[in-house]
Amino acid sequence: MPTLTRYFIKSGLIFFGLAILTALLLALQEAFALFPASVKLMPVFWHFLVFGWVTQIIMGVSVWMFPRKTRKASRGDETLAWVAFILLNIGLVLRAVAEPWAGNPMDTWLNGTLAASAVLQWAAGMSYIIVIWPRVRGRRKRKRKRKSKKQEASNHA
Amino acid sequence: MPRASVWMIRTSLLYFGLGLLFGALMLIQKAFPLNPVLWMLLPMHIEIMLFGWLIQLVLGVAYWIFPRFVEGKARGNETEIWITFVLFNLGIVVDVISALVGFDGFGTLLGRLLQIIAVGFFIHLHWARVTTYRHLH
Repeated sequence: MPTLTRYFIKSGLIFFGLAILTALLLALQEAFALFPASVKLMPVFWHFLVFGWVTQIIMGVSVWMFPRKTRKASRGDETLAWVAFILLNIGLVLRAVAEPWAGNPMDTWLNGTLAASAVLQWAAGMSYIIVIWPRVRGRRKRKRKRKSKKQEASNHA
Repeated sequence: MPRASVWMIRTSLLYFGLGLLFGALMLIQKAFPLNPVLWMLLPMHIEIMLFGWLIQLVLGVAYWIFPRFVEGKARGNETEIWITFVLFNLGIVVDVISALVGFDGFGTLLGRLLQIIAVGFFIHLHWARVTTYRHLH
């Protein structure tokens, strides 16, 4: 398993734990009204679960498992894949810090943090799409390319 | 990777990009109110991220990776996966457009009906592929 995939999956697992913890807080609030402020965590819970856990696991596993041009070929632009990982995690953490308390027009720092988290999460997704897109390809195309490369090599010989 | 999976996974990536854009716009709207109309993107954001991105990706990968048949067509009747792909996406598009033009009731129903038919074809195609090769050894 490549290093980046391990980072994606382990980070995904942490977000999974955080999502369930957030869900527990929300349930406690609903049952006993213990933490009134926790209601504001609802969007954070959903994004921890869907973006931090499920999407991040998908990213990690697809970077590892999706077809490569050849067995020895690289897994695409690895730097950009790391950029996706870093931006996603920073973006999601900033979101969790800022979203529950944002919205007050006077608090430009908090609102700025939330807006920055939006841009970071979007950029993370775009980086991932750019990295993985060329690896979503059919067998025929790969075979054809391999065949033409072999022919080229034999022509040179 | 079979052609139908390529189409499904690439379509799911396009939806992912679109869903992210909608989500980012709404988050920025939350921080710095630009236009309250942006909140209308919420049902589309949910539909696109859940059905367009996550579920469609799972369908595409499952069709590619589940155990294949030893005899006959490796992945079963190919027409069924294309019907799944077309109807499932038609359902998403109908749902999204309905939400956009405020035609939620009938539009959403039609979208869900299309998706149910798509899922029916998917289940029919994959049921027998949820198996093991062990009995062959």
